[in-house]
Amino acid sequence: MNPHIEIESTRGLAGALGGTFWGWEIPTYLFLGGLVAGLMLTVSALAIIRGRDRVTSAMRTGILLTPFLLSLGMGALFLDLSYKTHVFRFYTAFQPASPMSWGSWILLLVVPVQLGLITALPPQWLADSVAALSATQRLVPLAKFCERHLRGLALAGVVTGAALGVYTGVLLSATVARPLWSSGALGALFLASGTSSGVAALMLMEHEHASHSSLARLDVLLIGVEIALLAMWLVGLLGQGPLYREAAATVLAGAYAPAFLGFVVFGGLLVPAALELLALRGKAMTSRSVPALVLVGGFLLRVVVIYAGQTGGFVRA
Amino acid sequence: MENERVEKPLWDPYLAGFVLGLVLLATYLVFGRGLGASGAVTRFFAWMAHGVSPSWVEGNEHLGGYFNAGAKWWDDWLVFELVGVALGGLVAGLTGGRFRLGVDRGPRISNRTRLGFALLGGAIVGFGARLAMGCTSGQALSGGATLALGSWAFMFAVFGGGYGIAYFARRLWT
Repeated sequence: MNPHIEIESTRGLAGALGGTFWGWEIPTYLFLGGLVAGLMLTVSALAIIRGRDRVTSAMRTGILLTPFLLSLGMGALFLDLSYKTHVFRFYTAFQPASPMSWGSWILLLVVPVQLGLITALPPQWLADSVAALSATQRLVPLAKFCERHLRGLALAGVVTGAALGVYTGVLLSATVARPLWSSGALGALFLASGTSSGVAALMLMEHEHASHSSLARLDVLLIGVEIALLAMWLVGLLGQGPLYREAAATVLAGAYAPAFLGFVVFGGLLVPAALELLALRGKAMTSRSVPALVLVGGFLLRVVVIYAGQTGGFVRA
Repeated sequence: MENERVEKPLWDPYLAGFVLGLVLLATYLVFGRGLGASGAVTRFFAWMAHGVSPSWVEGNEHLGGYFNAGAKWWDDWLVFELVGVALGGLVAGLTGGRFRLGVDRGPRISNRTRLGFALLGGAIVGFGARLAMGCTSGQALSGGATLALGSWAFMFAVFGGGYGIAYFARRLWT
């Protein structure tokens, strides 16, 4: 039996489904994967730069959420698999040329790093609850170990978080038969978008004014990088052959243009960035609605890229 | 973490009306259609109902067209207009220092009563808007601007009906 068939996703059904082989599950997985990557990267980097004492309660909660969010995303991915009972086969081999194989192993590496970071940086209520249980006394040496090695864990958080964030884009860019996805910029774009989503999620939870302002400044910077990468991706496609130009046109002037330009670029990037800048200058109120727009925009970016990417290709199914 | 900020004064209503007229003119020039609202709400609820019972919605004479082969929920520019209205309201509320959660109501009634009457009124207006093939945006503003006779009749009916029902509903606000 062909092992590739045993572990493939539903994209093997492209012909049967008339060209649209990925539904809501993949954008959901890519969004949650990017969000988790962003949370890990941001909190780990801040733990290294600022030190443990300045990691706020919201950031500790953010790290605590990462395994749950990743599990939800992997649940969506699992629903997409054609042969669900064969999922273990991802971990019986490593294919260096396959982004899905890389992704499977990255997902496996991410979880222990998350658990280590949660142990080193627990929210106060969790630390108190665990300390009150006599059964958890045996975990005290482990907690001490993680606290002592927070810097190493945070470095691992930066590396695995970045790998997870980049992988969500590389998964698409490796599918060269779809011109819209055939761009090296997608890995960096999805990393920037995922990091921005992670920062936005922290802003939703943050109550400390100074930390909220720092996160807002970081988010504005990330949105700027994301806009530059979006431009690089689309200009790169427009500069290639007719099929690539046609693919770029689906999000710039075609059926998906209103959703892309209206909901992703305008509503998900430009408006929240403008409101965050105005709030930083004291010319607007701060509100949780603004990071919520960033999160919605991040999800819709993946929805548009996945669906629009499936409308064009070298071989039409 | 909403913070408090000094509220800026509201726009002069005559200036706001003039600018709204310019927005209406711009929508005709750019999109070839005027403003509207109830069409997008109908589309949204049709989409929700489609999630529950696709066959019933697709077979419905009034709603089925939204789900023709190849049709997408964002085909109608009113969807974008309504999202833009929400975004514009958010920007105006945040920059004007007026963004907050609240229920506007008269002094004698509770929030629950106010919301109950709002739901009832909204349902009646929604039904009327579908009967008239447009609401105050689609009929009164957009149709009225093109001097459509039916739209002017609609506008007089809206104001006449409003004054008539105000006698019975005034205690909700005083």
